[in-house]
Amino acid sequence: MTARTFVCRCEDVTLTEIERAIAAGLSDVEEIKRYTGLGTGPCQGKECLSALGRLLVARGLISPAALRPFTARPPVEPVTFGALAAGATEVPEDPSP
Amino acid sequence: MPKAPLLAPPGPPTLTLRWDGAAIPACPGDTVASALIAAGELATSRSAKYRRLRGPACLHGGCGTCLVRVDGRPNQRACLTPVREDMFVEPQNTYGGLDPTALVDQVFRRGIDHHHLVVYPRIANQVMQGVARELAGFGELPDAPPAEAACLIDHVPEVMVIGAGRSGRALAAALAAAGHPPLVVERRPAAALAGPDLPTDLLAGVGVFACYPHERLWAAASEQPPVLHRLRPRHVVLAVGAHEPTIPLANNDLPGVVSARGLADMLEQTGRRLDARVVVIGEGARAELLAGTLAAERVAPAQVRKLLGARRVKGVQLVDGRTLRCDLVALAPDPAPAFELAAQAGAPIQFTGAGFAPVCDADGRIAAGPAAHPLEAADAQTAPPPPWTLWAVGELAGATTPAEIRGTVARCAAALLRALADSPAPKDSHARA
Repeated sequence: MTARTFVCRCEDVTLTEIERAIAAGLSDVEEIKRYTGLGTGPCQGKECLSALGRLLVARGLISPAALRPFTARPPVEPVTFGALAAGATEVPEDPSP
Repeated sequence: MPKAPLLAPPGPPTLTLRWDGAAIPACPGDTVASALIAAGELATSRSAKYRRLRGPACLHGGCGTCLVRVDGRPNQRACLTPVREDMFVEPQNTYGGLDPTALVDQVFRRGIDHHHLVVYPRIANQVMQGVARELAGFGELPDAPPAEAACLIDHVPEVMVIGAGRSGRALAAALAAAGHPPLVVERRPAAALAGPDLPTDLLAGVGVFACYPHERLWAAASEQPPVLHRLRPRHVVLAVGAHEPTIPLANNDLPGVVSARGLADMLEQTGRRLDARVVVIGEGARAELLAGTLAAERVAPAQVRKLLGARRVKGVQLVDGRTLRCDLVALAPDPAPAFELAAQAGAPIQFTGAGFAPVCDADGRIAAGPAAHPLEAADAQTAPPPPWTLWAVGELAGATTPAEIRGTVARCAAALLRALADSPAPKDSHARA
């Protein structure tokens, strides 16, 4: 087995690949996600996002105040298409009180 | 070949699950993951790119590497699935013990540069695409379509608490004692929730998967039975805890590398005892506490050169040349608050040093701004304010120790009860539930 250090296990993104992205001039969570695929697997960043954020701050590549997470879009928990389809059986009621 | 058991059962195993054909003993209270780890079966899948063996890791429903096929349904989280007698569990994304795709890890020793690998010539690219299409993806379609269509349930609770962990239960108990029992929504199934202090109004096995502020609702679902829940609460308490981020160390993906917090919680939940050598990797008071709970030796990440093992973790090699032999490695990182639902609800998010968290006051109240419609970028200024008040407790509110968690719960409960007293629910509120 090859020795590899993973930052994102879902998409098999290694520390070497993060270093390559940093060497290419990237220093932000979002652009490193787009470059490496980090955070785009089943866990959607729950395991890797803050590990990457800490690494970027520790290297002085970005300030903590400037660091933004990537957009936390639904679903944050698994949901089947079957369950979602149940929401389409009627017109949503008027939400105004 | 049977593997050495790693977790001792609390009593004689009375259940049997079928793992890839083999009989695995299990006890009531076990999840698929706890039964598999107890039996020394640590690998449940292969990774998408380097085709390395992976197994249950976070033990908290977060990480996505314990996905297995259960009774013909794909992508079930082994760590959240209670064991039933004779349930049929299969690995995913692997072709058996001598999986030829495992060669990828050996062939591409220096990594796969997917920006340039076999993009040209085009004919090679076509062959590569064919291979990649076969390798990618997770699991295969279910054996059969669902027996029944999902149903839709609407809820209009005064207070919704998301999460029935320590902080969620404590907050629910405090509100119930004051005459305002909340609706508690918890993604773990009832069979995986121990304890005498369960909330009375509990949706268990139901995962809140989204907040849609523009539609003024929260959405949750369960797969079995198939139900979609739409929730329109007046107060939302996020008691969603924290994720356990990985610690970047060589071979930190080996089967048997798990979250220390997840392992400690699994032992508490199942009543099982460790019958294995464990090394905890982490630093600080929380890592020390977890090492104590697991009766394990602890080393700091900076002391570690690499984790050893091929099909499962066998030890920790330190930079000083020593090797610590072990059966499990338990990672104890600084927890990263589960900020995702708060962010969807419009909460301002900041980096805390360990991870991202919503900005909240001492009572846990989150000043969520009006949410822009996702398709109309310019209407943030004109959008109505959200119809609920948003609160955070426990680890999401920055607490790390049990005492701090109790503090956030007490302050939030007091402030929430004041808010309820100042603004009683409209009379027809529950009529729509």
